[in-house]
Amino acid sequence: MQTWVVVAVWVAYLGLLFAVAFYGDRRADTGRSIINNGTIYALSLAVYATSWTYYGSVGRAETSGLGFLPIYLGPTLMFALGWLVLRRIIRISRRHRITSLADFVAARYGKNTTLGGLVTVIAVVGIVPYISLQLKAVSNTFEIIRQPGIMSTSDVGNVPPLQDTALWVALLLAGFSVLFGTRHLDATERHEGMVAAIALESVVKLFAFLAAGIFVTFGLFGGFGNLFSQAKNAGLNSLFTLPHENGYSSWMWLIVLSMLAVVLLPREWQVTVVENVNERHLKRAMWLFPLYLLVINVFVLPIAAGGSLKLGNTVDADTYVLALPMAEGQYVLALLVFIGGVSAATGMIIVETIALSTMVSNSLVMPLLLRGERLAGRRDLSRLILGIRRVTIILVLLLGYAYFRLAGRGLALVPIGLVSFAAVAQFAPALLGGLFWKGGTRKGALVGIVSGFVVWAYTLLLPSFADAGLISGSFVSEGPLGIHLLRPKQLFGLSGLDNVTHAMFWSYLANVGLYVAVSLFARPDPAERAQAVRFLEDVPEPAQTRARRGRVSVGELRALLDRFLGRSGALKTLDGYPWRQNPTGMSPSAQAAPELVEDVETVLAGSVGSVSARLVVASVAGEEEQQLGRGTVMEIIDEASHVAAIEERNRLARELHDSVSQALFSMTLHTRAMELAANKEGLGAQSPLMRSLAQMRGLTQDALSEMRALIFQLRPDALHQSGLSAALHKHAAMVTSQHGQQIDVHAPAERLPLNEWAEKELFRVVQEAINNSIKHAQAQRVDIRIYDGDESAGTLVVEVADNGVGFDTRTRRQGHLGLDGMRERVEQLGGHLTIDSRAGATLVRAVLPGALSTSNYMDAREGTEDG
Amino acid sequence: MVAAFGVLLLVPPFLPQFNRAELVFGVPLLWGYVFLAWAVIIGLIAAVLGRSG
Repeated sequence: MQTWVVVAVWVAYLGLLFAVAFYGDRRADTGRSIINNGTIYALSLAVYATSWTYYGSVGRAETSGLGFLPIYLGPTLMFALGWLVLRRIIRISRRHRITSLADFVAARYGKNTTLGGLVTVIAVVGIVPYISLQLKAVSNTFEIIRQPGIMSTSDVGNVPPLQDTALWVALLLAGFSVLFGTRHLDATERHEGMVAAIALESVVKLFAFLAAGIFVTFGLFGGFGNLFSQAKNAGLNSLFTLPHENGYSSWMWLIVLSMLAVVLLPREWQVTVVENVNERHLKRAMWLFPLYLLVINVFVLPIAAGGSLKLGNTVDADTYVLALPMAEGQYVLALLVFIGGVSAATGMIIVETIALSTMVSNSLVMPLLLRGERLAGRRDLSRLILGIRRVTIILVLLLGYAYFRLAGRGLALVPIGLVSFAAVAQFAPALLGGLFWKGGTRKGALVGIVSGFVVWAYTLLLPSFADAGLISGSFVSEGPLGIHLLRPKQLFGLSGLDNVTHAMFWSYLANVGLYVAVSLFARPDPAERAQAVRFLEDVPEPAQTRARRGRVSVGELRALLDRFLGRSGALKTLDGYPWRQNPTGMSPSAQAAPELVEDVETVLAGSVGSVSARLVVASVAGEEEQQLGRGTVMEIIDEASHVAAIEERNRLARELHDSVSQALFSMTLHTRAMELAANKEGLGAQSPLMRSLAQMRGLTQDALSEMRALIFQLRPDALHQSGLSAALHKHAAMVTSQHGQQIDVHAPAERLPLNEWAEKELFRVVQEAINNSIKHAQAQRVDIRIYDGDESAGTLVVEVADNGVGFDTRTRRQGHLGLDGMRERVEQLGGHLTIDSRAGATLVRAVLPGALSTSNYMDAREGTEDG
Repeated sequence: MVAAFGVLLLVPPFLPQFNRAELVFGVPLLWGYVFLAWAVIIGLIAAVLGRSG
């Protein structure tokens, strides 16, 4: 096929992708997202299927039968656990504004710079082979499609770099990724346009692969039965089975490895966690993404069988998908297949390099630069950050190209990719362990990851260099210095395993073993403990901690935001600040409220990572990193003990409910039974025994309702678990039983989208209003109404009306001091409180504009559990 | 739960029972079995999610 045709179609396709991405970004800017949908989310996750899947699986099937499948079964199993693992990661990341894998690990272990940098370096080194695999696939298939004579990649030979397609592919894709991912800085690191383009690519590659599969199965052969029986007659039995010799151990390790990789590969982390718009989308992705993987794998084995039958050993099995249509003269189909392959590779490279560039700039370069104080004088850092990212993208692709030139040429696609899988799997003990085990410490994570990485490099990376002739082959076959025990592929004499299984065994032994052992021996420092509690308990950051910042003016913070986000980004942040109604508080010279300082740090965390953000804010707020010591640490300890107190209260409430409450309840039943029995014996209601029994029953019932009230007070989170309306119903019933007034609650049946804080404050306001109605106004009837005041703005209205004696709203009466407190609470929520009172009718009304808008929704969902 | 069931289906000792180079209904036994088990797992995930709302 004419080279210019192939190149023209290719460039046109990239142009289309870019147009989609541009449109997606435009829509995102105007607030009408096109990716706010579970199906698009699931399709974007399918960036998991790269050239490896598209071309490499067929090659893998050729050598190890069904051994290509565990790579897709693992993700299915991991997504079956999605609600437990992935939702947790998404939630924590959103709450702490974590924007990358490195940031997550660093934040879990006390916002530690070293750990973040380490994870970044390992991720970059580990992913390089994976990138080279994509370059290899694209450049090989490009050679095949433009020169029908060339069917085997060995014919391509060793061309000088400047004539090497792979180099041009690398540079083209680098430019494309730079355009896609680093056009501007966004505080959340989300790239809506990119996600839209990736979802489109997933559709294209699936369509193209299925087209090739259908052509081979039904066009070249007479369907599955015909194809498979021909293959069987030709003696291709190894295609249909797993190798008996260590096939199963390899099968199981690959399932484990791919389970971890689908979370820990930087690109998967990016699309699953960072680009997640709404965690409910995960529900659809949990079955749709595995289904996508199933469908794209259906034709792998038929193509491998068909290729073996038609082309045999003349062609590299990694390219059967393209070579079969080419050999049959189906050039249009071949072009479609080529574009599908380009989709698979491009999607992977774009997302992977963007994710890596975020990690490099936020977790590696910025913390180093900020420590060196070289940036003190720089005004606009957003351009510097973008520059770092662009350079990173280009460097990563060039490293990928270098690996391809040096080590990857001779290898099949899948073994190259597995090297990368094994590298990112080294994050799993620290990350997943840290998610479920409070005892994991920073030192443990550091030692574990480093040792796992070293073993990985020794047992997998070095042998791949040796195979390529970069280092002496005797190093692998005889061991370093001839020491047999240290042979990289048979470490300490362990043989009989394939090299990935062998590497995973030793690296995990070192990684998990040291992570657990060191964590058990090393005491975590308070900052670490506080972060561990925050991650594991999923508790919101309490407002009290905000008192910790030093003095800083609004102007200084503004300058800081200017530097990192550019002027428009800074304005957006400050304008979005909920206290902007108070203009004097926002003048540049005013001292910034602690909440504002905290908010600025969170926003910065979104664009430079949590560690850098803390350093930066500390630098203007007059807290040196070293001095972060006492004050902050004390606050963090307070926070941890606050959490401990909540836990203790919850425990007490549970115990009281299970023991004393139950006992009191059965006492009322028994007393009632005794009354009935006594009645049967012929005792009249006025007999002394019956009277005492009745009294006793009354006392027990009172004790029970008091106990219930106490338990309710002990568990502030009970309110959040059941929601505002339900809690008010409970409270009303309790007051009615104690005081006898009629209290009606008119509230929507479905849960209101309020966050925990708002629910608590509103509950207190209503509680206080009911209190006033009963104690001071002697009301006999109280009506509580909660409703949506105004559809479009999401205004929430809460009313408490009674028929009591009323009071003069202009004079402050002793008993109504609570009114000021109520007013304050409502105003802090951004609303206002009005009181209208005359004899026989008092109405307390809180109006909260925007309280029902969807942005609060995610927080409100937190109490609900399922799956 | 679904994950545990999935693991059970997809690892020894279950899996090797099907690791024979035979064609059943015209397709390789192990290939058919793994894809069937896979589809069942996906169906179960969807069912569990559908039930929980």
